[in-house]
Amino acid sequence: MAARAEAGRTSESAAAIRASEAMRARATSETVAGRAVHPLVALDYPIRIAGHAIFMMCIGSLLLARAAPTPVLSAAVLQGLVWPHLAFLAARRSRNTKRTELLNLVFDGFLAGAWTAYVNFNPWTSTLYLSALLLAFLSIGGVRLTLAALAMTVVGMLAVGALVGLHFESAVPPITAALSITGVGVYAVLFGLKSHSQAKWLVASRRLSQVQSRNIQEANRLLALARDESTAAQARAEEANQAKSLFLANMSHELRTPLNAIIGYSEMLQEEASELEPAQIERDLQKISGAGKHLLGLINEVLDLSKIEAGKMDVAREPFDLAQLVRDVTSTAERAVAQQGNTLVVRVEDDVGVVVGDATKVRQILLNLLSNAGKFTKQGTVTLDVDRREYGPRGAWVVLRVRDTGAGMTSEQQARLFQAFTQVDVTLARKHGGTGLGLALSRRFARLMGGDVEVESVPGVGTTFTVRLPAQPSDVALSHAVHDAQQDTRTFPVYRPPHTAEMPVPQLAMSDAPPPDAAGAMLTTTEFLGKPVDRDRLTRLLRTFHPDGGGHALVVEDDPAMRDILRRVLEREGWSVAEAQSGRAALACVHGRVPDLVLLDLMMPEMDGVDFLASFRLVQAWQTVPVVVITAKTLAEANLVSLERYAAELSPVAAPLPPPVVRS
Amino acid sequence: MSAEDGRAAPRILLVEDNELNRDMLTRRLQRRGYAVLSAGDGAEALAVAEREVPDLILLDMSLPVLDGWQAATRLKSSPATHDIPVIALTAHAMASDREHALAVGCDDFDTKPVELPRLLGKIEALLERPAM
Repeated sequence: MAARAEAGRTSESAAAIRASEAMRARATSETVAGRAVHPLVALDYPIRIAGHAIFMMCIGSLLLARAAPTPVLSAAVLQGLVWPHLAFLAARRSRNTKRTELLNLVFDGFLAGAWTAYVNFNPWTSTLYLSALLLAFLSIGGVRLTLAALAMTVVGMLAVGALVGLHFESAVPPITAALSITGVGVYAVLFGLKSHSQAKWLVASRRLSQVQSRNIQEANRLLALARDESTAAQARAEEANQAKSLFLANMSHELRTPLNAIIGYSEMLQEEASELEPAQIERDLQKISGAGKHLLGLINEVLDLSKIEAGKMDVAREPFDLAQLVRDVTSTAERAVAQQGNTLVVRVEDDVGVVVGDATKVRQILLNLLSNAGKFTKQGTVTLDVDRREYGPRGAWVVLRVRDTGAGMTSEQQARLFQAFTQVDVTLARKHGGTGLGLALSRRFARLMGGDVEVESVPGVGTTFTVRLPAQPSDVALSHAVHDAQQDTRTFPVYRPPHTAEMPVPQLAMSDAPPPDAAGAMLTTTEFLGKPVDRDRLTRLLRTFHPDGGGHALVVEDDPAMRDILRRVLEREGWSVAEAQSGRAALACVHGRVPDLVLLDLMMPEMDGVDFLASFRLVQAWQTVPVVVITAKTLAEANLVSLERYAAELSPVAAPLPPPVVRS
Repeated sequence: MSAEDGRAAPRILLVEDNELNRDMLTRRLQRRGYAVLSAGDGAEALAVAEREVPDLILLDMSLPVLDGWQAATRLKSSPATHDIPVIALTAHAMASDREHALAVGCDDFDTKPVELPRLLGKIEALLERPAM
């Protein structure tokens, strides 16, 4: 029912549109010599043809009955047959079509008056004439035109009266009566039909205008929406622009502050070195290196941030032991937390197990949150809770919660906490040696891994940061990136012959993958160190190989300054050192004496690090020598892939190599 | 008035929140014969300036509690400190910073990292300027 009504309405409105189009075509599209012809002209044309034909037939029957003179008869015939067309043509060609047509109508009145008087005011023809004139003129021209036509009728009558005198005669020949009756009927029918079509047009055009007005309303609504949208977009763009400017200004400030210290202290040392005590010089040098490290940290974090913004930050997806990672991080963070008299409490659920994700980033997040908690808490407790929450047959979250009993934050401070360089108090962060980017990065890292970092805080009571990460991220959520260019350490598994299994390659095996067979063990023998080289890290690394020194190291590096630095660190740790400027020279050195450790630069002339490694690893006796790759460049994917390929070639097992294991 | 002549050393108030940079600049200025007072934030700077009336103020713009812009405005609107020349120091190095600094009443402007000879030139110029 409703559907049919709806369909009916639809077809009705379609018909309305069609009708109105037809109407418009008829009413407005007609032009003569570039001028629009008033619709009245076309409207009057058929009415006039019919009206005059009928009227002149009645008049003609009267004229014939009284044997009127031939010129009069001819005039009647001409008027009946020709005048309507003349009037039409005159109106169409006129400069002012409407005005001419109105004059035509008034002239119609004059003609009708004249003939009515000439036939002695015959009651039938008078009735016919009056009814036709009133109907047509009132409907077409309104009251004023009708009055004007009536006046002209009287003028026509008087004109005839002046010529032949006015007579009245009530006798009507039957033929005239019949013609008059027929004429009134025909005229009424024509007029009725015409006004019916007019009424239809009216309804149709009203419906059309309703449709159009609805369309216009809808268009206006859409326009308003679009305008609001663009205003909002503009506001957002301005806001983003402002945020960007603020970020740049703050970043510039943050970068210049340590640089200021570095330049200032080194200039000062140049001026004063000869006068200063060695202890003072050492203190100043420590300040320079501290500021340098801070600057490096800042640059790395800014790069990380811009990589994330550009969508170019890769996220590793590798299984790692969460409990082990937490142990590593807390042992590093313990000292920082204890600095202000705080106690670090760590609670790890027994079954947190293996998590698939980017261990480097998880480590960074955790370290950041712990050291933050330590910085902003005095004589309090920092608690780390780690647990795993299953939420389905296969899904699980790992939740790391860092709670402190520090000063806490207001909700306004919390709202700005995760924004880069706009944190609660930049100067406070700086005072504590932070960069002000740690939390912004932590949250972005967590989100890249499909999780999040959230904060809850009560001023005066403490703050809780909650990190939620998927234990096994879905394929869609993560890219298949192998590594993240900012990580400065990376290891990958290589096959280790059974007889060398006892060789010390400590703290390197992090893979949970079982050995491919009983004879071999998956071990990691290569480390990566980023440039500038962190001497403490290098020292720690050296001690893991030969705790008491005495090893022989081969430094393969084309930059003499870098070789010098490495040699000094190595010698301080009691190592003997051989140096090579290229891969080729290094191979020659190895033939002379097999080193216990190779420090390898990747970018070198002649034979680069990757090619050296390939040749080096081909000799069975050298396969177990640990190689530490040192590079200033963030490792290009290609290099890593080829490094891993060489590693794979060494494996006696055809099974595909497990993914590289990230550690640092 | 220069530091080397026989008169009392000009006293400079250094307002800087970064400990390293405060220490560094203090020592370098002292070495050139200036007496250096220091303040770690804007509020402290106002207090020291009123109490000690130094010959010149080196004012970092990024400060806790009361920032350098506000501090400069207050220094220049107080009759006690109005005549002390102020050099704004900012690490932002935005073009607008200079105009902003001069607009809040600072007498000169320099950027960080500090280029000491340039900064010293500005200090000397302001110290030699006849008091208004």
